Amino acid sequence: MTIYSLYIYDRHCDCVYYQDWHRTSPIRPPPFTNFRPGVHRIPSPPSITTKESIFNTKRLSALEDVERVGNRELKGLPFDEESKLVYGVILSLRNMVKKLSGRDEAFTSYRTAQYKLHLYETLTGYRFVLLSDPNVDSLRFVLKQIYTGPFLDYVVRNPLVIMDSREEGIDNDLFRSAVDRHMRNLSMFS
Amino acid sequence: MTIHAVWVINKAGGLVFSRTYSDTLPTQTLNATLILAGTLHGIHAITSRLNPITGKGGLESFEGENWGGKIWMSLTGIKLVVLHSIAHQGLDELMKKIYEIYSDAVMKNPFQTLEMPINSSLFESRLLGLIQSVN
Amino acid sequence: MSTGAKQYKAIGDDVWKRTDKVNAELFTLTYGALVVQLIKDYEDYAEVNKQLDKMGYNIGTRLIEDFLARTGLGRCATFAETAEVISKVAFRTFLNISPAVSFPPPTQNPTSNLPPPTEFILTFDENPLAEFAELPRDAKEGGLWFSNVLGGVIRGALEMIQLQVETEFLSDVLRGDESTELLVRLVRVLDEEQPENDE
Repeated sequence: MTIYSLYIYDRHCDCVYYQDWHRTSPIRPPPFTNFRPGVHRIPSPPSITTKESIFNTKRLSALEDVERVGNRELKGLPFDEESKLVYGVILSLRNMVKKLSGRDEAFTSYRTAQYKLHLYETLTGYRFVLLSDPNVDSLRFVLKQIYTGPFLDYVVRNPLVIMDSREEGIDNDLFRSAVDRHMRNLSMFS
Repeated sequence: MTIHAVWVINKAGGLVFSRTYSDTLPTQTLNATLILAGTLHGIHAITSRLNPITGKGGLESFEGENWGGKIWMSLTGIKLVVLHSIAHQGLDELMKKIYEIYSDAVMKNPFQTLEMPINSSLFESRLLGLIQSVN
Repeated sequence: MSTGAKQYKAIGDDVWKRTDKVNAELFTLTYGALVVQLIKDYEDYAEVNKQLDKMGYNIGTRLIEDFLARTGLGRCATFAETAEVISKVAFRTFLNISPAVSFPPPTQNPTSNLPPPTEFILTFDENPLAEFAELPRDAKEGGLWFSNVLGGVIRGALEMIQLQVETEFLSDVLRGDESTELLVRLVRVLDEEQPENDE
């Protein structure tokens, strides 16, 4: 059983965290205008050789050049568009399920031939989304464990992480490694 | 397993057939069902783009707490949607049979225009028979 | 979820048993030092009240996650149920006290269209924040609410679950009143946010 990726959205419908493990489809970092710090650690395209901080302006303008010139044609959606699509799909399915049920029914997962998406929502509006291979049963319990474990410890109880910000995500080293450890310790992680 | 409803959606995302077979889900106006089917068609397209691994494939099934839905798309692009109870053994068989009934009653009917709403009584009666044998 | 009061009490006790504890005196001393420092810095009791409320709000917005994660409770059906959960589970979990809940009679001209009750009063018979504190005279006259942080915590926590409330202290034993009472009034239920439509 393989886990592909994890997204976390806050109550403002923004993606505040992203991590992936066995994902193989390409993904591009978001363009400079839509870049939000503290969400993901997607590496920049290989033509940039510097390893300086992501806030280095020289590097950012080089990023723009690559996308404009396109001599290294990057495939895949830019991250910000992809995360918005994921959120949109979840919202649409949720509304559809609610409409068809006639009451507040929780939509929990969907499956395609290639992957299965699991959703866990908290009352405070945080949405935890996990993509895994399609042959698993519900992994909602994993998302709940992440919520009551690493999220509570390294985000809620960490005063240096700004929750509810419209400007940045909740990425920090402790949280990222705790989530990583948790996933790898699952008996089903391949 | 109980079947709650069956929809058929054409290539463009329009609803060409919809029938409910149980009381579990509240009835919807035709307009509401049309919109929901269109939404599902859009979601099917987007989900294939969100694939974390290479390969093709759109939405196949989704689940709520008390019921779920299964979507089967033929190579020609029409989608069969079945809303069902959580227990669903034999659902794949059922969808194959629905496709057979569709190809017989709808495709072989010379008066049925493709992509248009289906109003074939043969289709409805055979489908009703099949669902009743399951419910 | 319509569990009765007894079940909420059981949940509260159970979570309290499982939490890490800190020394009570350290806690009381820290809070007291905080209030005194705020008074020294701002020199205006109304401003101190405001700052305590703000701090409480920031605490509340995070505390709710801790609370929901550990108790696993779902949405309350009525505001009265919310009052019960706050009193029997939340206060028990975090401060190991259980303030009494009472509902004031509805106002003569209800302006909101929310179903009653839309407000409740928490009456504290013990307050760990103010264990050994005695207000000096000018603090009493200046209108200081020593435990104002509690109102902010409730306000912040409820706002994160889409309930906009106002809180105010009605009386405080530190001020010479008979009991310590905190009023919580529901202003409105907030809608879920929709993503921006940029297409």
